Amino acid sequence: MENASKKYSFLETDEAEALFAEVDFMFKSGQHIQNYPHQVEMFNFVDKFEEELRLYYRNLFKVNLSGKGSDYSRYFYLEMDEDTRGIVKTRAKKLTPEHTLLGILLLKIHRIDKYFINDIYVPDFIQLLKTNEEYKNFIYNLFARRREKEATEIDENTIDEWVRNSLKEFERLGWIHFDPRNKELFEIMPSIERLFTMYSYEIHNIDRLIDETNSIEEKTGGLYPVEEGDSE
Amino acid sequence: MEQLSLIPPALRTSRPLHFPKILRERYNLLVPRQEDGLIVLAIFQKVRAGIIERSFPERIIVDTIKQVLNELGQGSQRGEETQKYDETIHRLLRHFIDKNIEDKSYQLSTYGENFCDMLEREVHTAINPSQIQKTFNDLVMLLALKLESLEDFRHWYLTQFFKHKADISAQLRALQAQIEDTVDQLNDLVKNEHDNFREMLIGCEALLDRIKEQADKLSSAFSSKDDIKQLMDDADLGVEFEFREMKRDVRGYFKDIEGRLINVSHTIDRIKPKVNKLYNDFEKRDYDRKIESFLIYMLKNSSSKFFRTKKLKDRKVHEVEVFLPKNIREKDLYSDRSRITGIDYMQLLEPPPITLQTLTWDQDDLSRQADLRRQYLAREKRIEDWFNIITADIEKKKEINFSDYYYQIMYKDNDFEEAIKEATLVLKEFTKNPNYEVTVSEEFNLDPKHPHIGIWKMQVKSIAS
Repeated sequence: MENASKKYSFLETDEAEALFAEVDFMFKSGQHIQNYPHQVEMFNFVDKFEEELRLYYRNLFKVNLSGKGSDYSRYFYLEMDEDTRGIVKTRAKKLTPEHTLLGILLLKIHRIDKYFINDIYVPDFIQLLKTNEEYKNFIYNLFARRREKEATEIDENTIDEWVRNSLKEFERLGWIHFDPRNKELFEIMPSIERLFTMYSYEIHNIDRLIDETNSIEEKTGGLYPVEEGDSE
Repeated sequence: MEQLSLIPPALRTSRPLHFPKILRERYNLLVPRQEDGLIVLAIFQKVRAGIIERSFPERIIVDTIKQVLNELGQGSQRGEETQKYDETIHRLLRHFIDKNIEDKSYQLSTYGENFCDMLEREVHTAINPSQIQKTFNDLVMLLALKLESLEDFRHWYLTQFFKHKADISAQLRALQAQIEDTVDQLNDLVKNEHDNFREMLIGCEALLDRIKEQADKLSSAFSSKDDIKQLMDDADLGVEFEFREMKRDVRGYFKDIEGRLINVSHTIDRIKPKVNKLYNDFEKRDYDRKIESFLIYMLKNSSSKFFRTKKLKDRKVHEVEVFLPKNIREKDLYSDRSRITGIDYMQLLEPPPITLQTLTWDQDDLSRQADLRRQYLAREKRIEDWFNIITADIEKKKEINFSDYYYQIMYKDNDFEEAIKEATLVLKEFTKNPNYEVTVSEEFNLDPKHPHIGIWKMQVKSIAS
């Protein structure tokens, strides 16, 4: 017991009494905590006791407390690493394809196109997705099976719904933050970079992936072999 | 930087400026304007490369003039060319070109060749630290012999020092020119998209490393300047004002050189982080390009499955399920929320959809059911009415025989169920009421009109005082 109290002595602190329950709840909900005004107290707490918290989650929950970025873009979250993935599989939640696609779109527009500097107005964001020549056709095809010009009100609603649902999920994860005074305004948090981290292998090898896909399409005429069972 | 002059410092301040008259009159001819200088330089380079003979016809000059003016964007309008070419040749003939009257050929004058040679040396001086080292050694060696008298020192100052300081300065200018070239290349890299950006950046970085290395070597070669300073300090000529002035000039020059060398190093140190940033930007640009490709790949190769239309609060949407490309896996996020709350969080927010069944209504059956319901309500009303009658009669007669009413109900309403329910109600209500007494005897009361029905005699008596 003496060892345990030394290992996790942060639990005895006043800060832990005030903040740990909330921090723990957020982490276990899959949230990311970062150095932003709405999370600054919790961030400072995690930053201060980072090593002890890492041990705590590693030893007791078999998960890794990760810290990425630096200064104002630093953020923390819990993740399953290769060692513990099997043990805690039941505590995993998949990021759905719908959310994945919107996340990458959001990051691309924000990081590369730099369309939005600070707060993003949701209707503007939706409008941008629906009018961008580069990807609007893909979006309408996926969510309406139509071209933009042929889209009905239901098609438009479906795309709106996809965006708004995804943004809600991103807010839950801490990847974006809605303005409490105006729920149509949100800001992208540094932790959304996690999405790129998750897909870093695929991004770095995208040229090869494209070549492989083209090669398969050439051989099969676009048909993939049917796989038996779940590959997961 | 202090300007150096051929006139010894001691003589400079007291004399008025004096230039030879011929220099004042011919200055503009001796120092050519840009296009004239470039024309002479182009001819010089052509001769040296063997493209033209040392002696050349006027046509070569005219071609070179056209070439240079085009390069400078100063083409003349038609009709003006011949006159302009003629004027240019006329200017050049004053000092830069000689004409052979006999065969009417031209060649560069000695002044013209020297001018070009000087220009090239100024621009393309090869950095040679070991040569500088030798130069300094010579300077030191000769100075040691020239400190006996002011005249000897003046000779060293006006010949050796002035001769070699031009070489030393040229070395520094060459270093600075290399830096400027590298900076130009870097600026060009930043402004323009180059396919081989990375290779060019590596080239620039290597160039900067080389410049830094040469600057260090030159610094090392310049260390002999300390020997020169020391020799001058130790000389017995310190009492001579002119010596002190020349000494100050020499020291000032070396101080200036030292400062410029430090400046070269500092400039490179300032450029280096920018080169590193360019590397980072390049890596970022490459990564951004990959992100864009990844996004398009994901959008293009994802597929979707449509279900029925879903009605939300104030709008309808398609129920769509999206599938990522076959070779892209969905990623796991840690989420242990259900364990904390004990409730499946997402289920709470998104209950499973209700399966709606399509119902078809039988209109005949509906009206039949409505009739039955109306009949039921009418019977309940009659049961209540009969109960009120019976209660009133008891109050009036103090005692009644329910069997009479039972058959009255049968006569009037011909409803067997109604009569039974009335009997049950009367029995229940008056039995539990202490003001009444209910007596049931096993004596059948019969009615000839209803031969198949019999009811025990049931009397209700009011016993209220």
